[in-house]
Amino acid sequence: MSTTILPIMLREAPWENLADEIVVGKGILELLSNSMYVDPMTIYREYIQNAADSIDEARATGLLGTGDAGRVTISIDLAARNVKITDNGTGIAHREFANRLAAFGASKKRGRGVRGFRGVGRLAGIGYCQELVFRSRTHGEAKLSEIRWDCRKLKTILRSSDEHPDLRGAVGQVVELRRIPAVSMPERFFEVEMRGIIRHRNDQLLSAPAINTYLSQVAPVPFRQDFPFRDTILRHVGSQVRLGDLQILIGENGAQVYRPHTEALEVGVGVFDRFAEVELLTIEGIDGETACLGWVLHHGYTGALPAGCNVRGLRVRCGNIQIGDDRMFEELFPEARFNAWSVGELHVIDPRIIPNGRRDHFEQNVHFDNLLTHLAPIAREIARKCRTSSIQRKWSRDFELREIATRERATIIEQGALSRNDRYRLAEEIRGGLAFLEVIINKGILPAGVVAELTKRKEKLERDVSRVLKAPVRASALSDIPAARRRVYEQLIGLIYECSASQANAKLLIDKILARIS
Amino acid sequence: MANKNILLIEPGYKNKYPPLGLMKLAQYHGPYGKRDKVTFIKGEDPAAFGTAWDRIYITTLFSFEFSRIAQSIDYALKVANGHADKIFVGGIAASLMPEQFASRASWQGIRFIQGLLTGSPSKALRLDEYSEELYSDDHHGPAIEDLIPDYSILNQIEYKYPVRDAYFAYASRGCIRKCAFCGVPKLEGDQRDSESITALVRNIEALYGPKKDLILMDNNVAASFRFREIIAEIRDLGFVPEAKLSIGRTSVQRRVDFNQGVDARILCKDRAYLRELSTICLKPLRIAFDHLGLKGPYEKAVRYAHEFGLLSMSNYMLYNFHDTPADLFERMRLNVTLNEELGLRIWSFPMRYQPTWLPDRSHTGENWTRYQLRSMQLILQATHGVVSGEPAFFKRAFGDTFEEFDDLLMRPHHFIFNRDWFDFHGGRAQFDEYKREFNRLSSSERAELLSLIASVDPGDLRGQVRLATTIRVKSIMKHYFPLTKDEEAEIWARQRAMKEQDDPSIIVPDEERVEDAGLNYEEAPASALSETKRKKKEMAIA
Repeated sequence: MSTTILPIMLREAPWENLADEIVVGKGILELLSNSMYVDPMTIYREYIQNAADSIDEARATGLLGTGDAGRVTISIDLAARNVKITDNGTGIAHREFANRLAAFGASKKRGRGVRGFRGVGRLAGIGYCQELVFRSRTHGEAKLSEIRWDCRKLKTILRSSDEHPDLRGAVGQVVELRRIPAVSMPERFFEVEMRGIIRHRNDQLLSAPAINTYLSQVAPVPFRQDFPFRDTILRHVGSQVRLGDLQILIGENGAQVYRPHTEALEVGVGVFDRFAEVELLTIEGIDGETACLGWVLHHGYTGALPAGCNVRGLRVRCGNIQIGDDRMFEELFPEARFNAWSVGELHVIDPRIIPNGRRDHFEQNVHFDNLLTHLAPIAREIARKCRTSSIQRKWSRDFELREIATRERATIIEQGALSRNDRYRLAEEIRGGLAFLEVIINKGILPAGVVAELTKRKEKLERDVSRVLKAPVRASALSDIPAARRRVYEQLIGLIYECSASQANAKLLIDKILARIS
Repeated sequence: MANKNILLIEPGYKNKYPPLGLMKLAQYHGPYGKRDKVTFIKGEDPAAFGTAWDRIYITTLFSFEFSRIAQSIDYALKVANGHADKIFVGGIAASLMPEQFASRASWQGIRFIQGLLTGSPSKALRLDEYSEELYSDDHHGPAIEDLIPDYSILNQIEYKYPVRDAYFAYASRGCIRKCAFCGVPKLEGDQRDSESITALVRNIEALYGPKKDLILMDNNVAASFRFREIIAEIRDLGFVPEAKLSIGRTSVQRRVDFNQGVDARILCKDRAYLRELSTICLKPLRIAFDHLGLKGPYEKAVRYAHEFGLLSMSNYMLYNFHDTPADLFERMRLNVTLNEELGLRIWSFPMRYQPTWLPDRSHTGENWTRYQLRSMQLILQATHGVVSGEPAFFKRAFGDTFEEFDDLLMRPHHFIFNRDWFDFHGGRAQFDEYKREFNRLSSSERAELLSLIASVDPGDLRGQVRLATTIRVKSIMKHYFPLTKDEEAEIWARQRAMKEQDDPSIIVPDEERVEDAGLNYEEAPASALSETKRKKKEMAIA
């Protein structure tokens, strides 16, 4: 009997709120710092992103003039193992300073069309240094505000098996605030200082070149002046994306960071290809609006691009900052490896396509799904180009090999040491070779330019071998030798050619033999 | 939203009627609906890889074409880049054996729709509004099932459906019967009336121009209480005897076809049914004759039809169910008798039963053997699936008595396949020797022989010889070894030289034939035969 009553009772029983019992433990801090940023370099992305938003705001409010660069400097103190990231954005005024920098997941930027909006990115450094300091001064402030996180202490607290303190208690123990005179500091800035950066594998966090390489791919920095497709891309993408290009300067001499794209492309050690063409992409969202703008650079598609070229793969950016890595869309290619053959970028415009908290992917929703749907045919088309190019290279190579082999055969006939039959056979092979070259030319696979060149080469080859073909049996180099012995020689020479792996080597050997016996 | 890319796929099997479900979906998405870009393909078109598809619909028909359907679904998954949530599979096979589809792990996430797309589009397609799926907010739109089929998509493909210049409609749905062999109870359920066919015909005419024929796909129209009204409606639409459709200067004969057949058990109750049916341009009158138990009602219905001048008739004859070869023969023979007596033209279409849940055609009924089924298929291949009611041709194809038919079903297949050659020409001596040996067999020996030849593929028959228990069976087995390729090729070459007299059955137009007689189908093991070889075979028969 109870079996019928129980489900009804369960369904009818009222639900209660449990506001008083909610506990936010200290473990949350670990999740928000260490667990979120697995690749240490992503700290730079997080701080650059905040700087970019602040600089955009400074520009919008007129603090930064149109001619002024939005600047971020990254200074590295190798001896002290400190890094400072300083921007000339709006800064944060003292009255908001503590409130904004000691809040968790309470960003005021959400829904305002800016890059960061979750209010956790600033914690990125916690896991990688001993002390994390934020300092800032806004326009008109005489003093600067400073907040300091004691990351060593935090680590101790997090490691203790004691469940106390809770989140608020833990933060209270490790975070301190002060206000100090702004002596010789810029009138408006925000600065993150990471002190005592921990040693992490190859110490990339302190390597100016490594930071440059990373930011050149990820950060909103300008293309190089000499990148030939710069203007085309900017016109297309800039029409709807606020690129907010930053002047990022790294290290003592202040090397500026640029996007890694150039005209040439090192496809292998010392082997270069060049970008021949840019294809502009516009991807529709599900309501017919523009969801993404992008571009693909076409090149020779001679093979997978090396990781070191820093441009490979179909990549995606939000607010002109890269989301995920160069393998984000790998699975859209019919064969994943073709992603590494391609060079292209997408800029997400649709605010409903939302980067996830770690910024290594996107929230799974219908809008992101729609983006994938539209990208798939583009990836397939790139894969097709890769395949075509590899087929074309195969046929070009075949052409070349057959061309060499045909020439070789002609010189062997000319050498005049073969029997009559062997000469006829070789002449047949030469004809066959020419026919094969003709077939390759007429396959309709090779591009017109290549066909024209190959046709010329084939015609030249035809002229060169025509003499041999017209008179395959000419005066023998062995004509002075008595007929019976000559036949033995001819037979032997024929065997040498037949049995040797390289016809060129065999010919050299026979040249020597001929010199001795005749 | 509009402008979405919608892909409609019908698997690459041969079928007679255009896919109505897809045509209705085309209407839903098309220029009078959501104004999306609708593309229809039959089979697998590599060009589809170049488009970003927002949704893909696949229809399914015969359950025994499962492997062909599977090919289309796998293709769609590739086209959709693995996004199974964009793929919807519906239609008859998907409704009849949902577990076959749902159990395939690689198809996880594809929505398999059973039954008709009734109710709001959002509900019928099981769209999820929480994940903001395309048109998931369409809660109040008319049911897709009730939309006018979009005929325009048929021009997008090369394939020409044997019946296409027609209004396809239902005057009623479901069926009062629950025959064990039939998929209708599962697909459509109980008998009920459907919307007015007049409105549908008028709408199709307005959108896509007039159609020549009216194909009514009712399962059992005679069981409808509205039977008289339905017939009256058809008359009012102009489909009366000798009705013609004028297109420019030419005019063509129109016809009405209740293509699922009419129930003899009802027709025989009252002359009025056939009197009514004789007032429309019905061609042919299809009466199902599924087992010998229907002989009385069937014969009566045929006589009534004759009385009212309905002379063109067509028969569905189920076999390989609970029937025996004798049962089938008697049914076919009855038509010959009726034709002779009444001067009719009844064509029979034997249809081999396959359970609706079976993904292939491997079923063998309890009173049939695989060998006999293959023999029957070979005979039907030669007659293009049609059983002629003309006595001479019938006798030639199926024998004069059941004994002859029974012997024929046991005959070595190359004798059946190259019948003229072995009956009259070069193979005669060989055939005569076989007949001599066969006639010497006792009935138990015949039974033994049948069980031996039916238990293996023809290629493995040699191994069976040692299992024979008598000298006579052992000896006759040699005739069953399949011909070598060279022997076959020679027979075909020499036969081609001789022009044969055509069986009159080939004058039955495609549009009046049955949907699928399985004639081109090869048994699973024999399917290793290459396509070209099969083509050759077909040529040899023709």
